Order: sequence, then structure tokens, then C-alpha cells
Amino acid sequence: MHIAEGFLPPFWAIFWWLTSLPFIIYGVWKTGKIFKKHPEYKLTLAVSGAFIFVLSSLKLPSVTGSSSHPTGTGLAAVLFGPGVTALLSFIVLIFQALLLAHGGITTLGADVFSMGIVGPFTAYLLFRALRALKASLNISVFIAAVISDWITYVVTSLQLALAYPAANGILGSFTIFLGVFAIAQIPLAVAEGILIVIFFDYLKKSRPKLAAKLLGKLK
Amino acid sequence: MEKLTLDQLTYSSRFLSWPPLGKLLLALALLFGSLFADSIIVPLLVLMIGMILLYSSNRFNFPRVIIWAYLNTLLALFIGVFIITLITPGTVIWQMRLSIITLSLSKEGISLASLVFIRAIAGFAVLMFFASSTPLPHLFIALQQLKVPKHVSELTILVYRYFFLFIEQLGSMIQAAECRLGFRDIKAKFRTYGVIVASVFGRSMDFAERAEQALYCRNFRGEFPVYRKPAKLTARWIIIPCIIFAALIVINLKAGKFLTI
Repeated sequence: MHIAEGFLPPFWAIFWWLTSLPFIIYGVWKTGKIFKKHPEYKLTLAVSGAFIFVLSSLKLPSVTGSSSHPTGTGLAAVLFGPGVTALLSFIVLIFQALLLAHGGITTLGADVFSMGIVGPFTAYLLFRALRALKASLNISVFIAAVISDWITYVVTSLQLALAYPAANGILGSFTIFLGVFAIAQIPLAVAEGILIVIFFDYLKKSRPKLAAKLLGKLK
Repeated sequence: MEKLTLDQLTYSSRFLSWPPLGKLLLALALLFGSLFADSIIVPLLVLMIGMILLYSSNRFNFPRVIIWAYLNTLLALFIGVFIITLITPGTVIWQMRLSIITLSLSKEGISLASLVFIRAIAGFAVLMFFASSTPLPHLFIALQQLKVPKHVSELTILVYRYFFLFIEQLGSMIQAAECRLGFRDIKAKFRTYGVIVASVFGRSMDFAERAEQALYCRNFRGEFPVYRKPAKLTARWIIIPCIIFAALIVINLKAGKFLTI
């Protein structure tokens, strides 16, 4: 859920930029460290970034009649960890803002915070917790993807509510923004969860070696 | 008719020779000038400047996919602006109670929503000007002048390049699936999309492995050399955006509070 260019007042635009910056800097440091040790990972990571971008251009059907796209950042967080995902999301969100008008430059901080930091961190922690509780891979992936998507929408609603409080306060506008997004986003998050489960299932059948390599990392 | 690609668009722009960082500063000056304004005059002015730049850059000639993406975003923008109109407190014109929520249409709400809408449209025009006149690899190479770590700019350029390779593969797979009635109902749609995503992922990993081997065969040592560097940022390109930003702030102060409808 991108916040469009010009939508946030200056204070909130700067506030979210400053909030996201430490995570992006951590991602830059972390990838720098990885590349120093394994320069060949540059290509793997670049390919993964491009894959997230491609994933975000897929139109998923929704029960409300509308369609939307998966974020793909949950998948990246599960595969590469939340630090690297923050940087990859930042790069992909710049492309989406410039090439597709999804998001903007002044609202990039807010978009990175909801979609590149909170969403992936939630997905990563949930996935790890569920695997530790011996939940099956399919259930862990599905729950992590769906909940991280919902958390992303909750954060976006909060960002908009803080910027535009209603007569009865921030809670009033938060309820309205969340209510409007819920109509489309609750089924869409479930759709993305199903898609990612099918993705892992097919990968296990069609590319057992690659799946085993990834699943080994995901234990 | 041959389809126009984004690279063709940016490399045929009249402003290609302008320094990418200069264009970025100009875009930021316009975006922030518009953002800091509480008068609708400033975003309108930025919209006009953006449209003139856009027309001069490539005569409003854009790839169809970008036009669709912008129209899609415009729809979402309408919903957001509509909500702002309904929740902003002020002198009430119309009101409706919905259990715990009260929806009211106020004069201030309409003014604020108009301001946000024009600001967003102006932002679109400025971003479109920037994206259509600057090859993105140029921008990220130029960012190294600002001490952005080299591995970040390299990673960004590689993501950009691979994206176009994968989107082509994705297009072919979707077309093949359509021919086999892969999208005939909701269940089939999900299965097909899941299979396509996994296939693109598998192929992309194979591709990364092949590209890595090919690079090592060519004596790759972890860095990609750049042979045709874009124009460097000069003092003129710092001064002009600063003047534009200051001018927009002054216009905002002279114009007073935002337009009341």
C-alpha cells in the first residue's frame, strides 16, 4: 500500500524518512559486509531485487472485484533476513515511485517503513517463531505472509491518520482509513499468502535442489 | 507499430545531457517547494512547470505501461483525497453519523483535499519528468559523487537491468498460460500465478549462477567498471534549484492561506 507523492505534510514526510534511515543504513552496512566476503552474492541479491520488482508487477485477483499486486518483501525477508530486505525494498520502492508512480520521493520514508521494514520484520519473526513451534512450512509461510501484509496496512493507516486527524482525533481517522483499506486488503493479503504457499510447493516439486538449498537456509 | 521502451524514452530526451544529480535537485526543489506550501497557487505553479518540462523532454510520448500505472495510481489518489475531505474538522457543510464514526464535509476539508490533490498531481508531473529524462543507471552512478557506497549503486543498476529481463520472461509465461486457459477461474488463476512466480524465481537463480560464472571468466573482481559516465554536478545546478525553492516559498508567503472553495 503505497502513499502517493505529495500526500504527507512536510513534518510527517521528514519524520518517516528519519525513522527509516537507520534501517536502510544498517541494510547498506550489512550488504557491504556480505559483498566483501562473497562478491559473487552481488548477482544473487540483484536478481532477488529484480524478482521482488517483477512480483510487484503481478496483478492478483481480489474478491472485491479490484486487483492488486503482491509486495514480495515478506518472501525476501524470509530468504535474506530483514536487514538486507530493508535495502532491497528501498531500491525497489525508488523504481516503483519513478517508473510506476506507486509512492513518491517525499513519501518514500513512510513507504519504506511500512513495506520494507515493519512488514518484512514481522514476516521474519513470525516465520522463525512458527518454525520453532514445529508448524509445517506451508502454514508458517502462509501465516507469515498474511499477517505481515495486514501489519503493513495497519502501519500505512496509522501514517495517514497521524497526518490527517479527524474531528474526534487520530483514532477516528485511523478507524476510517483502516476500514476503507480492509475491504480490499484483507482478501488481498490472503491471496498473497496462497500465492506464496503455491510458490514454495511448486519449487519443491520442480526444482528440488534449489528448494532444498533454500529450505536448508529456512530451518 | 513498435512499442516504445523506457530506455528509448530516456535516451531520446532533450534533457539527457543535463547532469542527473542536477535534475534530481531540481525535482526535489519543486517537490519540497510544493510540499511546504499552504497555498494552492504553489502546487499549481509546480504542476505547470512539471508539464512544461515533461512536454519539452519528449512531447508527452510515454510507454503505454507507464500511462496505465499512472492512471491506476490516480484512482487510489481519488479515494485518499475523498477520505481527507470527509474527516478534516472545520465549518461543517454536511454531516452523517455511522455508529461510532461521524462523517462530515467541511469547508476546510474541501480546501485541504484540493491542496493535497493538486500537490500529488504536481508531484506526478515532476517525477515523470525526472524518470523520462534520466536513465536510472546514470543517476545511481552519479550518486557515487555524493559518497553513496559503490556496492549500493552497483546493486541498484543490476536490479534495474535484471528487472527488464525477467519482466520479458514473465510476459511470455503469462501469454503461454493464457493460451492454455490457465486463468479460466479464480482457482486456476492462483495456481497459474504461483507456478509462474516459482518458474521465474527458479530461472532467475539459474541466471544469476550463469552470470556469475561468465563474469569470473572475464576476470571479475567484485566491481563493475563504468565507461560512459554521466555529466557531473556543477555549482550552477546547485544554485538554480535553491533559487527555485526560495522563489516558491516567497510566492507561498505572498499568496497567503490556501484557496477556500
